[in-house]
Amino acid sequence: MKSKISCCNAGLLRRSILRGAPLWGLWTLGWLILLPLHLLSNPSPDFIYAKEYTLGLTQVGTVLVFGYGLLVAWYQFAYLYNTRAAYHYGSLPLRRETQFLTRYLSGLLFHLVPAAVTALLTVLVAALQGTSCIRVAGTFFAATSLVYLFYYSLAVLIAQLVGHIIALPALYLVLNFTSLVLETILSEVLRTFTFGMVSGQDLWPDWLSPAYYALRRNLFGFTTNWDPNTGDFLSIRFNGWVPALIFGAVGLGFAVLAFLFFRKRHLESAGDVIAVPFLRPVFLYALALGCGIVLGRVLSAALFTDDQTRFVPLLFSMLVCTALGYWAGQMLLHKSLRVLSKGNWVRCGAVMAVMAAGMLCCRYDVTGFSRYVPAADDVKSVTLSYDIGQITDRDIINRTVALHQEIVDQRYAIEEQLREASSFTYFSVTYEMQDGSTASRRFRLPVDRYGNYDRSSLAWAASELQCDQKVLLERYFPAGGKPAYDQFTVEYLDTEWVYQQMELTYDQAEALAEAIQADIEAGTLGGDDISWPYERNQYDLQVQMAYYVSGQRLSYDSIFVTAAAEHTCAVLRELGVPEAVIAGESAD
Amino acid sequence: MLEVKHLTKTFGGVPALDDLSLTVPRGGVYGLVGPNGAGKSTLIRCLMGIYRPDSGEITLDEQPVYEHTAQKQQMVYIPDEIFFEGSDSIRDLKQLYAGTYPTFDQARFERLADCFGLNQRQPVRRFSKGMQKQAAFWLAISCRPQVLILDEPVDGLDPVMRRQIMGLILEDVAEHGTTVLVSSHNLRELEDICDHVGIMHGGKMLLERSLSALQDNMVKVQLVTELPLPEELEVVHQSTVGRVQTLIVRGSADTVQPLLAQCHPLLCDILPLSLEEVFIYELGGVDYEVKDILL
Repeated sequence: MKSKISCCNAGLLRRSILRGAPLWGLWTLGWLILLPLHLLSNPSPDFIYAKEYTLGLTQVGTVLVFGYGLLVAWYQFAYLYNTRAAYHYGSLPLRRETQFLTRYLSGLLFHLVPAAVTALLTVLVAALQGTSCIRVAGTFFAATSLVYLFYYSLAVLIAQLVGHIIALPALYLVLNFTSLVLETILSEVLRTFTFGMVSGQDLWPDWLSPAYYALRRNLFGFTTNWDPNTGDFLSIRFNGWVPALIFGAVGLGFAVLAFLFFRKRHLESAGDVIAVPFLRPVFLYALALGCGIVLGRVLSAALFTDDQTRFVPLLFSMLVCTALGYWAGQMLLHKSLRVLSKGNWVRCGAVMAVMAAGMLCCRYDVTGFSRYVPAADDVKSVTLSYDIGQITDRDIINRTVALHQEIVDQRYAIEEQLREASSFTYFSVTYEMQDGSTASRRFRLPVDRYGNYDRSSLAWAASELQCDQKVLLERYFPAGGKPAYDQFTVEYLDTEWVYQQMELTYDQAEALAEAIQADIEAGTLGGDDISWPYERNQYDLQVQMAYYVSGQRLSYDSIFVTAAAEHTCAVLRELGVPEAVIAGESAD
Repeated sequence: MLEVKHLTKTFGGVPALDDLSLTVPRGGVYGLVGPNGAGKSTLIRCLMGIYRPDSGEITLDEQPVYEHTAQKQQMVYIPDEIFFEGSDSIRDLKQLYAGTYPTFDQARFERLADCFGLNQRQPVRRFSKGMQKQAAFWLAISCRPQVLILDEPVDGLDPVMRRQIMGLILEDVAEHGTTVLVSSHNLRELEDICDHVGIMHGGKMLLERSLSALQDNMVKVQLVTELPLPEELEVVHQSTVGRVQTLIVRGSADTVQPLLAQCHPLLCDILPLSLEEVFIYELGGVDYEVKDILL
């Protein structure tokens, strides 16, 4: 009965497949219900439907394999985490290469076979309904398989690095969503310590968190092309071939790495959180610093006033949580609560010192990040507060740089005032430099209590700059953007306080955009509520505008309508917006 | 011949096996004894290629065992704690063993079914501990291994089944030259089946001899004498009840007898030691003697 395949043991393969039947059986059943059976029970006269539906499910499949890959890897290699199971399989007369390849191959079949069967039946069902779905079904099979190869291999690789059944999913999730956590929490923490820090900055490359990257970038979508004149179907295209092939290739790389780690793995590491000795300190310190940042932020929010200017409570919370993370890591690595030793206290102190030093460096601007203000001559363009509209006007650039410098000079005064101020406003700026580099800063500026705005305040100056006609025109009619007139809407609260949304036709949107532009040029539309002389129609009437920027990317912005904006109000009347709303009386 | 040379294995810097050497002759039954923590199970796992040794070598018929399928196909291991996956039945396990051991003897497996009388379709985890052990023996013997390695093999088996299984194993030893290495604390039982014994302590092999040589190397003497014992007599342990002294003396009966004659004993009985007594008194020399505990 010895396998004739040198890299694979038939007995072990058969056993692995049979024992995993509930897993791959459910997976197969799920896909059969979602694809061929759905198409069979919902015959559509529209032959496009089956194609769009199949590609839509391909996109869903690339997300679902994230979880399924983990489950299969878990099933295939969980024996490594049980001492008796690991010893049992270790004693069998099978080389490690054979054991790994047999299990790895078995895990691949857990998706390849169900996906192939699903694709085949989809083709058959579509053919029965008179549609050819060979390409889209093939796309379903290939794309989901390539992405599965990636996630499954990543999970298998992690399975070789850890020695505990819970550590595998934990590390898998952490690696796939580190970028999200760091962008949301670390950038928020850093904003407290670093004056001028912009939130949501890419502190960690997205692609190092592949699941998050794929979801955020919508890597595996598809496009249906229609003839704009006749409305006839032209083509349907899957957009994710390049990412899918990259995922597949990287997946193979992970599989090779996993294989190398498996060969070197000591079976006695079963039960250890981290099975590879050289990764233990990495795990320990990453856990300590990760806990310091994430739990520190949570603890600070729970115990202290959630105020970004109060960095001492946050630093205190972060140091406490760093220590907690360190000791938790030690206990996990040693599988014991008895980890208190002089050496560990010293190391705990060291990691806390690193955390404190890092945060204090940010706070006291050791790198010069907060103090940096570019020379006006070095700036090619600026973008103020919104992500579109690059202003190249030298006067605006000079005023922006001057305001930025003034904010930096008054840093400590601003922080002091923010503790007392009832509200604040943001001033954001992104510089595009002559050498092509960019620099972004974002500042919170205090606003006077009760709306008695101080005309000499920085908030007022920032408002005046942002309400400048040139800035407004570039913001709402960016030179580098193209209005998406099919996506304009008018939104308002009617006299009964009911929210209304009016979708505009292309022509209506074009007319409204012209009116808005005329009003901005006339200086009667587009300002904010600090330095703007006109009474705004606060949130009761706004136009939602859309633009195509950087190719096909859609960007949205809204403009609040004032009663003084004659051209805009005239178009809105024609569109049927009630006079009371235009006059700003609906809120009364 | 199964041979271990200068084997060292550490866990987290703590040595479990320390420069250990061992020779199990082909067709022999080798008893591995030692106190708890001596390293017996670690040694067995190294022998089976489960643990990768830090240094030293393990060979079967002069070929290394670790990651060598041809050697491992000749070896079957029954651990002290047997592992069965969730719903595994004997039939499922038979397929696994048949797929991995080319020498798996299907006919023998069927013949042994009557002997063990276990339900082949029932999940093994539902068996009692003793029945699980029987299942493990059934599968192991059906593989017709050249080397059978047993860690606490009879633990949980009833006396009838114990005798029956040992009979089957010794039959293989006699008819097929199977080599057996048994680790056990049941020295009485080892004494019945082993022809070689190795005593381990602290990760080292304290001594390794044939059972007869081991028993010939130490004798128990019951002695009544008025004179002091001769200095040449190597007394390992001594106790006195009334006038009768009980001595554990290193040496064979032939070498001890003339020495005892020098003190003109009124009574002198020289008795052989059981394996258990050899174990106790040999380990007494390395600070592992039986202590009288008063509570």
